[in-house]
Amino acid sequence: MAFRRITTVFFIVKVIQYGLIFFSPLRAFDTSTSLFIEQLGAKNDSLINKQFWNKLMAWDGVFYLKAMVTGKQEFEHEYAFSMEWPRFVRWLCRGNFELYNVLKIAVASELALNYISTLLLYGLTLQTFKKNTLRTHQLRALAEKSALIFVLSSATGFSTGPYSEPLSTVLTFLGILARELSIKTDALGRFECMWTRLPLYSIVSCVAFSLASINRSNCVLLGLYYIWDLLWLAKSGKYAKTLMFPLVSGFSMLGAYLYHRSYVPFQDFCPQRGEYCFSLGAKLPIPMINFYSFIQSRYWNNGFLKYWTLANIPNFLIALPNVVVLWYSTIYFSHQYPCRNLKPLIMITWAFLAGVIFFAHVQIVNRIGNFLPLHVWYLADRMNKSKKESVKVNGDDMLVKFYFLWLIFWVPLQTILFATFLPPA
Amino acid sequence: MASSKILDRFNQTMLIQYLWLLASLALALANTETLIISLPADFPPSSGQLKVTHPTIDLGNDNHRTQKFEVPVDERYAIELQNLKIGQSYMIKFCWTALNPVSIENANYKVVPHNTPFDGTIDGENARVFVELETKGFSYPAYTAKSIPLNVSVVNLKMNIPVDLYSTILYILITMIAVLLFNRRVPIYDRLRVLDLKQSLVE
Repeated sequence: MAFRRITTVFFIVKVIQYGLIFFSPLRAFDTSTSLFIEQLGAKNDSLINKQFWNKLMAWDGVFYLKAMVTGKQEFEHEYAFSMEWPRFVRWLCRGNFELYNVLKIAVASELALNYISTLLLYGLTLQTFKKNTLRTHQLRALAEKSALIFVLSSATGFSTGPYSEPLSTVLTFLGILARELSIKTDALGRFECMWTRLPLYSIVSCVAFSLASINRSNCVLLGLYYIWDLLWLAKSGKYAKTLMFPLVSGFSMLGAYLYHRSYVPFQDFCPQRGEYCFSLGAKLPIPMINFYSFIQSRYWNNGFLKYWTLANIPNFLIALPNVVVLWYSTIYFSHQYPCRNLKPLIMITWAFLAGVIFFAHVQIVNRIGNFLPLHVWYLADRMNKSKKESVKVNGDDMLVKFYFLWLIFWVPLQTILFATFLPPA
Repeated sequence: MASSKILDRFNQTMLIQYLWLLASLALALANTETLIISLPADFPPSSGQLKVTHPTIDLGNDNHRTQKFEVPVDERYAIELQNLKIGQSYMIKFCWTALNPVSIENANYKVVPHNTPFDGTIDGENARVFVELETKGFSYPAYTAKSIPLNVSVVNLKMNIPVDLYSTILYILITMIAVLLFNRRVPIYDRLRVLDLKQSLVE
């Protein structure tokens, strides 16, 4: 029943979104799409292309499409967008790299990944809260509500186009689920890694987290899971498990991340580039300055408090609902409904919020915050607890209600803004 | 019950106002540069005999037009705007694709009185309006193309809103009203909140 309901709601939401895109006005605010199509040698004359497909080639999607069509990255700023997602789409294209074919496959993959992540979140919710004090029907309701809220998440508008977030979301949920399945946590939060589940932890979760972080840099925060586990195991004196579970996985993940985000650009651009080419050590081919921070700062003006200007107040307002709900979710699961097994996720959410608020273009929280399930669980749990119709909504639930109302309006608005190439990006 | 309904309506009205504010304010753009030109009421009317001395956008009788130009990189480039209406304001929009890593610098406009030379050209009868810009490569490795394609749009402003955005604004308004009406008829939050009520009552 839950599966059918989630699937139905998912496809209804997508049909509405694609319908909104199809019927949106042809004249976009940013008129560069026609130049982009022309330069990639595609023909832009059919009605369906003009009315639908062209509208999905907006914002950062353009960088992904270029990499998908040409199979390479040309300039250093393009390294901000990983090649993993384009490679995956190119593999699905089976040699036909004509722009519209690539776009169609990217959009279909995006849709499939969105659906898979919704189902994964359902499973992940069941697994995560199994260890807590919920009765079976409450647990199932929580899982179903989480999945349905996720369908209507604030990133939904962007995930109609060829963006890379859904791939990282699937990998993140898969990694968290694999880790959850390979550990045992008691009510006091003490946990145990099971030797029989070592492959699930050190292979499945490690590979999933590594790929997620290569694909989207913000997912590198998932490494905090391994730091948390390492500290717990080391504190309990389980050194063999410390080594084989979090230490091996953590180093593998860090190694994969550094290889893609530092070593590869270092090989491609150094020493001619100067700037970040001062290596970490005489024989260590990794730049001293973080390459990713360098390009974010140079080309997108990201950096500590750089976005804190009066002109950006609207962007802070755009981000406000998600910032508030993400923050409240950490407080909620720390104090009101303390779930010890959620501690590392709470830390990840804090680190993510700090990064987005102080270092990034804050409004992107609406798009990239989707890999965190904590706020979705907060919303779903509050809805679960105030589910009797007669119960008056107040306090925390008022916030949840307001946020949910915001989502109902935000999702179609964001979809239209994206289709007409209007900000926020 | 009544107060709850009023609160609901208040929430929804607040939300719509909030979303509208965001949609109208948040113009932080990427590969687009804009500038506003206002033609004062005492701007001399054209003689009707317009010379073409530069790349030109002729608005004719329209209130907006987009034209593609091949603009040289690292050089100043001027485009003449013809048939702008006196007393009106226009948004000039430069859009280029992210495939061409350039930044547009020193975008501005210049009013050249009649009989005044500009770039070695002269019009003895009409005052002329030019927009000028300079494209600079902004990448590593350095961008080596000699020129880039650039879409330049001239759009009349009415109530400080570019007229070509009116259809989008109307579309957003209709969608938001539809969402509002739908949510009143089928309150999605309440539906989701009581989703498993029947199931738990059975148990």
